[in-house]
Amino acid sequence: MRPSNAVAVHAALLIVSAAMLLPFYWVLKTSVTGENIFQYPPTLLPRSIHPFYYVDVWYYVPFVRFVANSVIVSVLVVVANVVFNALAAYALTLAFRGKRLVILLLLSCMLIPFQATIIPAYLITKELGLLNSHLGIALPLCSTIVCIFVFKASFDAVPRSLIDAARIDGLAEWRIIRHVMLPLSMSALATNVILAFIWSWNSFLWPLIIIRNQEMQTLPLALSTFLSYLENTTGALYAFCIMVLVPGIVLFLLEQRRFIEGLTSGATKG
Amino acid sequence: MRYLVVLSATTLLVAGWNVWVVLHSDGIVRGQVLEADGHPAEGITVTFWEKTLTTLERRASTQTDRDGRFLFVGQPAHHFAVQAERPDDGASPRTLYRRYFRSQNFVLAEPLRLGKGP
Repeated sequence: MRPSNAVAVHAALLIVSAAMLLPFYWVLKTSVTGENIFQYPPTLLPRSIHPFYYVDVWYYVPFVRFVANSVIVSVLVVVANVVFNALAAYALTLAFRGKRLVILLLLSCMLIPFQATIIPAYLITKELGLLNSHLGIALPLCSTIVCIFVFKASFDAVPRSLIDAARIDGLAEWRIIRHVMLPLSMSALATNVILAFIWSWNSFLWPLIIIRNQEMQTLPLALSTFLSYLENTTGALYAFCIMVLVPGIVLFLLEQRRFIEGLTSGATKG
Repeated sequence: MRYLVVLSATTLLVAGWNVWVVLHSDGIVRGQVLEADGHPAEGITVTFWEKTLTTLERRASTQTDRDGRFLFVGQPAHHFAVQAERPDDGASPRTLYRRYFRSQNFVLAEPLRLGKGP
């Protein structure tokens, strides 16, 4: 790329990045200043920064309890996703009768929105006695089709000779997944972990339906309740938003290289 | 390695912060009350109010000493107001203050100034 082109491309990327990051900056700025988001004229730079809205959030609601609920649910979802998706993806790399039909069925299931299946999901969860429980919140997210295909794309790239050698050495199928497939699919694993974590961390509708008391609320649900308490306290509200967002952003930043690798390998090797 | 660094740094920060909190959390609030002319106000009633989600709730009151100084102990509120008042003879504005954590030992940066009486 010529230098003049590179400058133009970087300028365009900077503008697009600024446009995408501006809302996050605005939320962060409001959380440390409490300036009304609708004030006119708007100010770009924050004045009189302080952390007291974060202190308000910490003490006005049982924040640690909400974080603990979100962490428990996210851990359940991440572990279940890694296990179930890896098993399903490995099965889809094997040759069996009706494999195309199973893949077609899985892909077609992706077209059905969760809202359309929420009543059966609720009834099943109720029958299992998991309403108002961490496992109940985690249940619908324990396996996701997108992540199965991320694993499948990665498993397909593992040389068959390696799997055959493992079989000849006497490894059982589940040990092949654990000791051969997963170590060679770290990008797919990271993608699974990040996507499962973010989806469960941000999940709102399902917990709203099955949670009955405040002690079991996850962070997005607690944020909604907090909004109803303090409808005009923008500073504390936005501080709460930042506190909900930070864990997901940190996890993404820690694993962004593998996450991008996992998604792109799914796009090119499938 | 990144996880180790991030988790270690976070743990250190949290541990350090908690040690600081434990060492500075007696719930003490100190301040001074001055007359409108700037002299220390003795025997003035100072009231401590806790700011809750919706309102201010009265928690304690005390009297100023000869130098106009007052002290509250064991008041945990992180968002509170203090007001000095001489019955039937003027009061200071009810000023809101914030602490970084509950029961943080706190000294009012500015003295409370009594206004003119009714």
